[in-house]
Amino acid sequence: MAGQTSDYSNIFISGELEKDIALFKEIFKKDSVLRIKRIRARKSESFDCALIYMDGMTDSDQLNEAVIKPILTVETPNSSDGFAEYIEKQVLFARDVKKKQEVAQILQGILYGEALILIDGSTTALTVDVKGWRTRGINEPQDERVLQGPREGFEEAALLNLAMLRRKLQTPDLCTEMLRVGRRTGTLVYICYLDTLADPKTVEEVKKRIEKIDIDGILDSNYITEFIRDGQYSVFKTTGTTERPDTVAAKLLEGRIAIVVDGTPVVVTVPYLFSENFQSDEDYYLNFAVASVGRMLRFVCFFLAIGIPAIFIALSSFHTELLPTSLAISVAQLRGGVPFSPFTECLIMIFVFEILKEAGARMPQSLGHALSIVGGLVVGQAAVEARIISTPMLIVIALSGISGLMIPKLKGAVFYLRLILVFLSALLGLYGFMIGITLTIMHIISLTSMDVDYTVSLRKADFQSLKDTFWRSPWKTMRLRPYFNRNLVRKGRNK
Amino acid sequence: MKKLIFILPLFVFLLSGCSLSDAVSGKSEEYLISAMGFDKSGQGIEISVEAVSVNTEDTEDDKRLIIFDGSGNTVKQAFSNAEKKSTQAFDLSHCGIIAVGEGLTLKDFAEICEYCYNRDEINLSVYFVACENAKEMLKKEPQSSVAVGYDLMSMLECQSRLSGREYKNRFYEIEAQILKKDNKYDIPFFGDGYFSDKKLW
Repeated sequence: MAGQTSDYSNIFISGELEKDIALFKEIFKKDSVLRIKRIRARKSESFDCALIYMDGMTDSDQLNEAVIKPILTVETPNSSDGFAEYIEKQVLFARDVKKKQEVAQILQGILYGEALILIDGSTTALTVDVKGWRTRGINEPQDERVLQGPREGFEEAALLNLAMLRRKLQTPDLCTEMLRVGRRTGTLVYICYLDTLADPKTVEEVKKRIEKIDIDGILDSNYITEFIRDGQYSVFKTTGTTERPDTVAAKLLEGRIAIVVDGTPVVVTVPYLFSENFQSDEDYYLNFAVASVGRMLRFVCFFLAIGIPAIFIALSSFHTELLPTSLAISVAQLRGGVPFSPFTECLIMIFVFEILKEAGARMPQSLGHALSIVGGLVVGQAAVEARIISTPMLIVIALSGISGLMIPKLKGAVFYLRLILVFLSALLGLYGFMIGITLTIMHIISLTSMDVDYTVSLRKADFQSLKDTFWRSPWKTMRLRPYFNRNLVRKGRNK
Repeated sequence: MKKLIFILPLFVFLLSGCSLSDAVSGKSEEYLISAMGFDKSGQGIEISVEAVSVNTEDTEDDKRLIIFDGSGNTVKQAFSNAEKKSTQAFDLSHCGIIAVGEGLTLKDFAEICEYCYNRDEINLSVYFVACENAKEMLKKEPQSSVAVGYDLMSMLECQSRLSGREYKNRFYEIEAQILKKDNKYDIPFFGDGYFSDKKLW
């Protein structure tokens, strides 16, 4: 039993209309949205045709005006041999018409919203582009809102997304290569890059990795990401994702490659560097001084998010001598009566915080206030009053949690690193913490993204490479693109 | 599966290691020692330990002060006897003052220093002070802070600042003198509510 388009690779249409219609009926025998309409071209010689399409995927008006009406009204030639070509070139008003013979190719077209015209006596069929499904429309991405800057976001139709990109990068240098991935979904995947900027080796590597994917279906760009990313089991992201065309355009201008997947607004960008985790779209739309403060704060917050609970456990359990006496007394006093050890208390609080965070993200917006009241009162006040948890631990976890929210691109990594460091600190005190931090740094340095060093921007200890890393320098001074580029110079001097 | 077999015991070890370690029970389970006092007693040496109890299950803000004492032929024995009277372990890392009573000899003092030096948790910047009777001094009510030990520390620092007179009575300074085998120690004497330059030895 054939289940994939590619199963019909070596089957061609016969030219006998009834036989070909029967073939398509057989292929789609359990599909009730397939429409088959018989048309007879009139005047000089009559030819029987059949129009096959998927209801709901085509634009009915366009189908009537650009395909059915012209065929019905046109004068036809005497021979059926040239009829297909005649229709293609002189009759149809459609935006794109292709001649096809192989059933697999025809199926791909029908399933992507094209209409098929079968002509009695012709072994060539025509597929007409009359795609007409509804799309969500251009909206601002909910997770990547900015106070200042462009507010448009990608949507599910890849072609529309490419058009949005093209509008921002009006240069013939923008390349868009198409691949089909997914045995059963045949999802369109577009690889976009600026030819003179992107490293050809990286482009080839991306194509090679995507072509290797063998899976039933691709329903979101994350399916692809999981297959092509370096450091498969790392908690750090080695591919970037965004729903904003301006962000993708900016990345392409830095020589990166964008992977646009049909059916999802999330576009993948590679290579992805460690420093990108701390960059925000808004950094480039605000004054560099203001943006730099935010950038540096994000670095600090990353450390706070992963390190504060562990440091607190180490200090309050192993190294109280490092705390000022008054603080040590306060901490010990506030912990009085709590039945759990700081380690257990910390684990409980981390999981409660994660539950609240996850619930807040999944629940309807209208219930958000209820959650904050429950979270604030139950976890904050009631638990402290009942001496289930201590106030210092609550403050520590809240600080760590809020700091983690400053760097949403690292939320997964922050959670795991926080836990690992807490474990190590509870086991070995500050020595454990230092071991954990050292191993984390070693891991980050060892990572790559599409064979480009994850920390390439930190590798060269020159001022230029740090200009868009720890802070955001004025555009005037950012002369060079990142080091993985084919063409390093971003702007000339004195211009 | 093989990986799981290796990872699972590691995970169990980590969890149990983290939970069973003495240190992770938290400092609210220990007495924070603010000062130690040494006096001469019939048996040999008497130690008095001023402990700040921060386990406030009963009252919200009240920090209770408890004096534990113990005597013995040696400092170690005396300390051990004092510890026996306590329900919680002593945390010596925040000890601010070591008071030595008038009756102690230089030999006793050397033994006290050696003992304190061997107790790693005692900070090397702890102040040494002299007084008539260390136990009686520590039994007084604290005036400005949570414990007499911290009151004395503040007084000492304040007096040094105001008078410009800097005592060399920190533990590391005393140790330096001991290493030099010089028996002249600059330890301020606390009596009548203030520090003076009266010398014990």
